Amino acid sequence: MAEILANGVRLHVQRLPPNGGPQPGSPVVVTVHGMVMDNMSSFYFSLGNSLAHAGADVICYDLRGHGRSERTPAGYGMANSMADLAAMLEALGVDSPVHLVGNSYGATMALTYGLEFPEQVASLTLIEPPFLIDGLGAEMARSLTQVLVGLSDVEVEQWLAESAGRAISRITRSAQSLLRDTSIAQDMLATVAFSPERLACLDIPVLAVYGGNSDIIGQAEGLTRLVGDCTLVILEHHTHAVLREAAEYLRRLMRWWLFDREQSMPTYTRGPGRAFDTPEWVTLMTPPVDLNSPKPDGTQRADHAAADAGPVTSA
Amino acid sequence: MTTEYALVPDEAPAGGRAVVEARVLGEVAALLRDIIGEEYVIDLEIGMETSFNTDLELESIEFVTLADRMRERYGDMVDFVGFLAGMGVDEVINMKVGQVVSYIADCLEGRRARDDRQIARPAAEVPGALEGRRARDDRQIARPAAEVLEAFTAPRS
Repeated sequence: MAEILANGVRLHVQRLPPNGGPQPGSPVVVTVHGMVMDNMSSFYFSLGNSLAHAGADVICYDLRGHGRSERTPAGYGMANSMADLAAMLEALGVDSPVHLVGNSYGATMALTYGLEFPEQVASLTLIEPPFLIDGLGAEMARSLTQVLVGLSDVEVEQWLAESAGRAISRITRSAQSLLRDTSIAQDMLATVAFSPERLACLDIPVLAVYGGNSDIIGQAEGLTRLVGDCTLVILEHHTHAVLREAAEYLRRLMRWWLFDREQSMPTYTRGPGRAFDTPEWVTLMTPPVDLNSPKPDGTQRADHAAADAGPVTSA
Repeated sequence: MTTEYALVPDEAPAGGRAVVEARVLGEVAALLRDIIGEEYVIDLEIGMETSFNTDLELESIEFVTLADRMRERYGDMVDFVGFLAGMGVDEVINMKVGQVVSYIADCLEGRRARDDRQIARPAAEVPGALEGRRARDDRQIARPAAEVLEAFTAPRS
């Protein structure tokens, strides 16, 4: 396991060198995963190996508190996330602009990094980014509420204790601990919304991908309206989990984005029976006043939702 | 890193395929026991038919660690990036240990030369690759975001 000390935190990093060895001009791709119930493995397997095989220098890392990285009691706000990423790239000796690829809140981080350090970013790929000009912190609260509900129900506890199995139990327990024992909930609530003025000045090509059935598909409009050079891809019949649902297409899309952008964008063909829907309880979710309260109103269907959506949810 | 299996393609390992697979299986099983924790797998015999998902219940981040440890163990002899390039998370986790062992054994025996791999290159570097595509007038092009949104939100019958 590769560990790098960045911004005072031990980060787990996996660097996948380009096929045939580094070449001058090999694009450097850095992936930023989602929060709480996610880690680098979602990108490592969906895009990382594929893009390295295609000739990219791929860097996957676990955000602090996630995966194999150090779990600090605090420091999960955007400013520290930016400092972690910048310090990691410096420690790795990356001195050329990178192609940042983020998923969910990781995409929000990537966009923020592009605004903060535009000279360090060659392009941005934003997969299902929560994007709001007003109330981004509240949006994060809504996402965390979904996770909390999924983790806090009495029946979920019983399921974990009796029949969830090793992997799911470990993932869920880790997420519970992250939410309970660190300041991540408060830190995410404090996420500052994007400034239209700063977005208007963004001079980096952006590829945005949303699922047509995602609960945050409505946020695509604001993103594309405010970001000048934005290519938007909406995959109908897919949800917020589009990275996992449509990984094969996203591999082709990313190869096009990195290597072949002058050509036509790859066409998406949905496989038979491959339709995904966001459960209604997710759409209707309202954040509780206190995120550490595990039983918000209107969440009685959490056990059903866990069965519908699978136990893994990331924000 | 390890040169034990640094064979050229026309050198068969002593004992043949079965011996190589048995050795690799032993090495992969040892890595798995180290990653998962001996207490969990103490009563579980790890064999070629053992599933990473249903038998070992491996977390996906643990599979990342396994891939990292195997890269350390076998170095450039085994192209794990190429092996995993076409798989998704679910495909990886649903593999059996034997699939990984067989792939490693293939590489060690020289049955999968690196040069044989299909390498995705920018089309511009492939002679003639662009000619046919440029002639097409019905290709899908990257459309402005506003057009995508308009198409997506337009009433559909």
